[in-house]
Amino acid sequence: MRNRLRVLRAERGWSQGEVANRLGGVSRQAVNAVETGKHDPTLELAFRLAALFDARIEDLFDPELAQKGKEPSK
Amino acid sequence: MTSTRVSLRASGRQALLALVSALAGAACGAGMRIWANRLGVEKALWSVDLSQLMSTVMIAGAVFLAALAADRRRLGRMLEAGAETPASAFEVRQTLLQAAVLLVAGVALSVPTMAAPFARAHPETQAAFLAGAAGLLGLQTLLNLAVWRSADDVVRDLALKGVNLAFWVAQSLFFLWAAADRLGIRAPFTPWDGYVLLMAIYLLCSAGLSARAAPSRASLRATA
Repeated sequence: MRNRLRVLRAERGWSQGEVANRLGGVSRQAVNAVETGKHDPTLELAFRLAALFDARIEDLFDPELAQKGKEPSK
Repeated sequence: MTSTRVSLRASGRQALLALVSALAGAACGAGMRIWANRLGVEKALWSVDLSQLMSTVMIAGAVFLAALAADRRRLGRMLEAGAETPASAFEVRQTLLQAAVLLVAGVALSVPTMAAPFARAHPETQAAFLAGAAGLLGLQTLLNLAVWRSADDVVRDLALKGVNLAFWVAQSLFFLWAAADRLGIRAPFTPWDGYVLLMAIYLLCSAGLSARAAPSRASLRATA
């Protein structure tokens, strides 16, 4: 899944290791895998990432629904 | 120019490491064969050779991981190329737990083969060896549970995908074997063959999935 983690991390000047440490219980490889889109995080990790960057989940992750014409109903 | 020199030096180091590893592997293999011959371990079974090879690789992997975990800076560089941040306590604990699982799994895989000649010659020891194998299995299960409980998102996901993929490959192979048997094509297949084949499939699936999930050089350069 596409995401803005790299941008948000760079804005704060954090390394992947620092993000992992701030989250706790997550390795820097996991942060890298999520950031590069190789791994879709669980809902729990997505919420924790959103809280860490003080953002909403939809501001962090882009499920590409809009491009596929599957905009979620409101 | 400087980067070319550094790259050449790195390639030279890798070539030397590959040569030393190949020589150590050959010596280790020859030593194990001599030892196995002395113990009277069967030569004909492909699964015996394969299980001993996997056992050696797992024990060597455990020693490598344990040595890596002892140096937090080195482990940090291994986990994130170019990073100067030492590995966290969480990362060290995970690495040590994985080393322990590999070590116990490697020993458990080797013990039945190594003990077989002695146990067959002295039937009164068979129950004790089986109890020992069960004990190792119990310890391995406890360690696997500890890894699972403390694992992060990615490790759990990889473990589940590895099991799923291994099941699919193994059930396909078992179907072919069962179909051949129904059709009257008898292929000798022992319980040890089945277990070793399943382990080999699982290890290959896990290694392949882990390699795919590992940070690529490009992503590391962009993110480190």
